[in-house]
Formats: sequence, C-alpha cells, structure tokens
Amino acid sequence: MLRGFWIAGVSLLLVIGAVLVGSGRERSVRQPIQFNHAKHKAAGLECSFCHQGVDGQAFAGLPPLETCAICHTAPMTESAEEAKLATLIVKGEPVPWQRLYGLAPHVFFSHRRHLQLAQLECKTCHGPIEDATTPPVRPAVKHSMKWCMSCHEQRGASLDCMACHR
Amino acid sequence: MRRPAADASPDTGDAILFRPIVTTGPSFYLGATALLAVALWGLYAYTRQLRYGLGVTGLNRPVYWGFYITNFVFFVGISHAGTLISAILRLSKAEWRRPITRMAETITVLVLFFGLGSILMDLGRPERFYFVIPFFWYGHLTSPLIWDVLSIGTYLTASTIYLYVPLIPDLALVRDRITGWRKGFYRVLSLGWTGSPKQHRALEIAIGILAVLVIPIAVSVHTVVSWVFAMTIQPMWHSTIFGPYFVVGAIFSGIAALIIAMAIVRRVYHLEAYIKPVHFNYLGTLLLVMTLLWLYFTFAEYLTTYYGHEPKEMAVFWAKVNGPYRTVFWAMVLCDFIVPFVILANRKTRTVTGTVIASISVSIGMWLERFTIIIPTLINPRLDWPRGLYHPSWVEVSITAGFFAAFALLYMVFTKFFPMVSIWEVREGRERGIQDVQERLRGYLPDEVPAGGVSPAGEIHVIR
Amino acid sequence: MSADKTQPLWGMVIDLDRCTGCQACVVACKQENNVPFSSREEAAYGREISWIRVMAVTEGEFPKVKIRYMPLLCQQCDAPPCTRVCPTRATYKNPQGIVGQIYPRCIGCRYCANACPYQVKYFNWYNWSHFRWPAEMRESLNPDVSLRPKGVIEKCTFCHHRLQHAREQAAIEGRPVESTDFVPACVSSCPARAMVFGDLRDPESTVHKLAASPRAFRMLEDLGTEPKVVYLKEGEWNATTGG
Repeated sequence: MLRGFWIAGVSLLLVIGAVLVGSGRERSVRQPIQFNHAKHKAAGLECSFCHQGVDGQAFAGLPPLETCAICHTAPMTESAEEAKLATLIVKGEPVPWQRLYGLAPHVFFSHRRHLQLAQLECKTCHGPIEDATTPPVRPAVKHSMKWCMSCHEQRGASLDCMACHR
Repeated sequence: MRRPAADASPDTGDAILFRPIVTTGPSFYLGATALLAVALWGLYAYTRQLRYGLGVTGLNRPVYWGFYITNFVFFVGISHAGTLISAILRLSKAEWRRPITRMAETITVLVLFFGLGSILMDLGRPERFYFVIPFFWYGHLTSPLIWDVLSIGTYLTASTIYLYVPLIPDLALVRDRITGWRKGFYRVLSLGWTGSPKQHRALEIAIGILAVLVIPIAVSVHTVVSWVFAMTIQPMWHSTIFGPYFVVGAIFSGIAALIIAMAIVRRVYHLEAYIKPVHFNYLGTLLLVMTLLWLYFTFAEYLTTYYGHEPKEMAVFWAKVNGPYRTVFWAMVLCDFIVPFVILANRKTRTVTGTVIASISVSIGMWLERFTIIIPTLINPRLDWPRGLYHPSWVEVSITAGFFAAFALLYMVFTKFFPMVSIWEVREGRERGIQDVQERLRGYLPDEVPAGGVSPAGEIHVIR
Repeated sequence: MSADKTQPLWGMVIDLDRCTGCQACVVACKQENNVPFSSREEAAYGREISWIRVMAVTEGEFPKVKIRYMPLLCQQCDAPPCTRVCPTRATYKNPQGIVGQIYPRCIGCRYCANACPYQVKYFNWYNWSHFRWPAEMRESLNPDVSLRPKGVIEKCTFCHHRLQHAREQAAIEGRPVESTDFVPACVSSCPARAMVFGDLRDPESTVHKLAASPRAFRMLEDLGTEPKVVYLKEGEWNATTGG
C-alpha cells in the first residue's frame, strides 16, 4: 500500500522534473550559411560594417544581401558555404539569417545606449563572437534579467524598471 | 504499528457515524453528478475567460471588480464558520459543541480554497499568481492584497492543522473497522494513534494551543480583507469601521453556513440522535446576537455617512438606498435583519426548520451585503467621469454557480472519507463530560459557609 | 515631492481657457503609445482605452450654461494612491517622479485602477494586439512602445520613452537634461498651445511660472495626491465635478 504511494509520488516528481529541464533548454539556432566571424575580422572589417545599427540605433541588425554583395559578387574562396551565398546573390534573395539573441517584446534594449554611452565591448554581452569560426548555435551569454541587473548595479547604471520595460 | 490489546476489542458503538464512510448509496452518486455537472459548466466558462480575457465578464471602467471579488469576500467570510466558532466553543468549554465542531472546521478549510480561487478568477494574468508571494517573488508589503495573501495563507494552514489534529483519534477508529485498500490510507493519516493516556494528553495540549492561536488569525483574516477596500480613498470604502464590521459579518455568515451544513448532514445521514434541536437552538441564539450586531454596525456606518453628508459619499449612499442598487440594498436588509430577527427572536420559531430558514436568508443577505459594499462605490468614483453600471455576464454567473457547486461537492466527498461528528469527543462527553461539568458547576457555586458567617478560612464575609 | 532633487520634476500645465476640445491630444497619444482600438459597443460599455480623454464639464445653470473642455490624463501624482496598493510593484513611481506600469510584472488584479481617484488606469479586457489591431495600422506602430498583452493595466507615462531619448542625447552631449529637452506627444500636438510641459522644479521654466499663477489649481488636490498636472482656469473651479 505504502509502496504504491511512493512509486506514484516519485514518478510524478520525475515527470515534473523532466518537463522543467526540457522547458529550460534553449532551442539551437542553425544559420543558413556557416559564417566565419574570425575570418571577416582578420580581413579588417569592423562589427558595424555588417551590423549596421550597432553604433547609432537600438537594433544592431543582421547584414542585408547588399552588404555581402560588396565583396562576394565574385567568389573569393573555394568554400561551399560561400557558394551558397553566391547563388542567393544571383537570385537576389536575402540571406535568411536567424536571430541568435532575442529579447521578449516588452524589453527595450538599445545598442546605441550601451555602446556609445556606456562604452561596452561586444563580448561583454555576446561572448567571444569575433573569434568564432562557425556561427554559434546557442547564445554564449544568457540574457536574463538578473544578469542585466547585476551589471547595471555594478556600473551604477539605471535600475529603474521603466528604463527597459515599457 | 501493532495496536495494544486494550483497544483490540470489537468497537460497535456509534455505528451510524461510520456508515457514510463504509457504504455509499445511489443518491450520493446522483447528487455528486449533478454538482459535478454545474462545476464543470463553471470550468467551461472559465476556459472562455482564459481564452478571450476578462472582456467576457460584465466588468468595465470604473467597475473593475464584480462578482469574483464579491465571492472572495463572501467565501472568506463563510470560512469563519468553522475554526473561529469551534475554537471559541472549545475554549469556553461549551459541552454542546462536541458533535458540531468537525462540521464547522471542515467548512473553513474547504471554503478557503474557493476564497483564494475567486481571486484567481479575477486576475487578468492568473498564470502570474505567484508574483504576489513576498520575499521570494515580487510581493509588495504595502499592498493590502499581500496582507490578505499572508493572512489567508496562515489561516488556511492553521485551520487545516486544527481540522486534522482532532481528527486523528477518529481516523484510528476508522482504520480499525475498515477493510480493503482504504485501510492503508487511514493507517498513514492516523499517525499510529493507539489512544494511550500519553497520546491523549499530547492531543489535548495541541488542541488547546491551536484553539487559542486560530482566533487572532481568524480575526486578522477578515480585518485585512476589509482593508483591501478601506485602505483606498474611495467614498464609503475609506472607513475605519470596516475591520470589525467585516469580522462581525464573517462570523454572522459563518454561523449561518454551519447551521445549513448541520441540517443537511443530519438529514442525509440520519444523525438526529447526535445533532439535536438544542444545537440549532443555541446556534440560532448566537445567530440572533450576530444579527443585532450586524444591524448595529450597518446602522452606525450608514448614519455616519448620512449625517456627514459629504457629496461624494452621498452619491454612493443614494446609489445604495434609493438608486440603481436599491433592490439589492433592501433585499440585504430583509435577509440579514428582518427575516432572521423575526424567526430567531421567538423561542417557538427557533426550531430546526426555523433556524435553517433564517440561515439561508442570512447567507443570501451576506452575499448581497458584500455586493452592496463593492459595486455602488465603484460606479460612483470621485470624478464625474466615468459613471458606470455593472451587469454580470453569463461567465461570471456560471463561475459563481460552479464555485458553490464545487464547494458542496467537496464537502460531500469529505463526508465519505471522514466522520462528520467527532466520535471520540462525543464519547469523551459521555464518559467524562458529565462528571467534569458537575465538578465545574460545584466550582462556580459559593463555598459552603458555616452558620456563624465565618468561612473555613476564618474570615468574615461582608456583603458590600 | 520626489526624493531625488537633482532630477528634473516633470510636470504639465493645461490651460482650460485655451483648450478648444479638438481631441488632437487624444489622437496623438493613441498614435504615439500604440493604444489599442475599440469598437463602439465596447466604448459605450466603458472598455475603451484612452490615456488622455477630453471631458465635457457643464458650468453654470440654465439659461447661462457653458460647456468647458478638460483633458484628463494620469495626474502623475507625487504621492500616488495606486502604487502603494499594487501587490507586485508593477506600478511604481520612478526616480524622475513618473508613475510607470510594468506590463510583464502586472497580474491584472485592477486594485490600482480602483484606488486611483482620477480613473486614469486602463485595463486590457481583450487580447487587442492579436485580433483587434487592423493590419493596415501595424506599419504605424511605435517601435519604442510595446503592445500590451491582455489582462494587464496600462496608463499614461508622460511619454517616458521620449524622456529616455532626451536623457540619452543629453548624456552623449555631456550636459544635464533640460526643461525643454522633451515634450509628450499630447503637448506637441496641441494646436491651441493649451498644454505646456517641463521641469516644475526649474524656476526659469514656463511650467514653473504658470503653476504659480493665481488661475492654477490641481485636480482633487485636497486628497493629498500631489498631482504634477496643473490646470489653469479663470474663476472658481466647479467643486462638484472637479476638486
């Protein structure tokens, strides 16, 4: 009798645990092209060359086809990944880049504020992305509110809720 | 967990009290199905609300609160039936309490879930309910709603323990006579009760402490419920009298609910030998006292408002007395005062039927009272725009009906698992109560004075 | 008054003698803050959301009756009755003295709406953003303000997002925020110039001077809510309707 209770209880806990663990995992993001950040940085490109809004706007943005086409109209390497880009350029179709870092719609983050005013480096929030040779499938840094707040507290930035939520 | 030999003799007394647990007839299933159907209909209505938002209710600006908050205040009020009344009767050593305390305590524990449930129904984002927990989440201690959460949470915990502790000896009794799969259930719950003198002493101490503890908690519960309204600066809510006024109303509706529950249990399970007309008579007298207290508080509240004649308050006053809510208001006066007073003030009508009619009237009246307190203030905010009216939608009516049905259903199911009359306390009354009362009575009487007017201690008694 | 005396104390002055009741402020506010649309039936039942409303106040007695228009928005109380009662701190007064509402924190109990004597907190009765928002209008949504989900309270924020842009600009230019750095959408749209906005603490600001005018009064100010919206009007204010 008692054993029945135990078995039922433990299995219920296991199910709840499994659901919690499952829901906590972030989905992996697969990019259409295996973009090499390190290589582009070595070529002397600034972050803002591709992520055009990073200095002056809220959103950094993902590069439009035109930006890629500046260099890649003719293939520069033998890479199969570059060949994918070439076909897209010929067809005139935009690269279906996937956003890796997304915030809830009620969170208002501004790259301008964090780069121009606070003078933060990219890697503070994005990890060592500039040295990545393949696109990361998961965010290197988990942007939880607790994480944001700890930095804001350390640097004396605004702790007002309305600064980010409206 | 072997029982000692002393307790092993077959226990045949009070068989009728065990019968609901042992046998279940078709009428139970019929009744339960009907109640379940109403509860499920309420659940369906709630799924509509979850899907489309609170727009499916009749709420609007400025009437942000309606049926759900009325139900919340009403159910929390009903919860004073049990624990508080039972604790007061225990502490005042009222011997007639023995067969009725269990029924009262059960109401408290079960109805509190519906009180908290009503708040959940009212939330625009019910999935965020845990945000209100202070210290761990975002609970804001200056909000009277947080006081409610803390107070009702404490009350629910205390009442559950207070229901459970006096239940332990009875659970052991059921354990000893029941067979089959349910035996394990009672064995676990009865915590190895054998009825030894040591256990009895521990039980009495525990009950004594709990009975003292739950009284201030219960008073705090309805006080802070009233403060949800009184702490705002809205006309006819912002009143210092609200705390005690709500507590009185809560005990008032609580006694009424207890009388109704007693009458039903007595009728259905044929407990006429245990729950006697004298119980209804005594509770009826208590109800009469509360009727008069309720009238006193209501009169004091409305006269103060009227005499002060502040325009904003008067707008609410007239909305109640002779405005859109006059039917509700005067029905409340009829149900809360005239009907119960006429019935209960007369010894001839203070019968089982009489007290039950009065109690039904009071229950309806107290629901209307909560409604009358909440809505007319909301339709008359301080600024003239907007003025509002409130028409409850089918969703609110269905959820309310579902709540009442689900409560009745839970109570019914409870009677199938636990003895509704405290068996050991009734037996204790038979075995020890009479002797105790005689001794106590002797203690009340003056000491025997010898003929010379000098007490045994040698002092002269002077009558001042 | 706000604890932090180094910050400007943002306030508004509305001259009722100038207001023509044209509703430009209402339209501008809805446009600026992505305020959801409503149907005629919903509005008639008191379900419309409009962070600023123009009220018609009747003055005098027949035959000398006058209608006066009165824009009513969140009074941005310095002692707000709504923030105290919020069970989750979803509504609070920020360091700039603006009363905000944090939608993801709000549980939708509507206690603040009941505690507000001005009735300027609005509830989202439906999931407007999903099935009530006309597709053609989506392009004109303000990206600086979120769309509110169903079941939360929303309210006027003195266009706080504009203040944030102003603060950011001032910080980049390396100077403190000034009284004239930003105005809310309603003020910028008023064709009669009946609305003025600025720092109530700055003695040089227009709002400071106007708030000291003998025509100035504040709504229900005897309740001790200390509103930061000041109204101007010649003569006595009708006590039965206003304060």
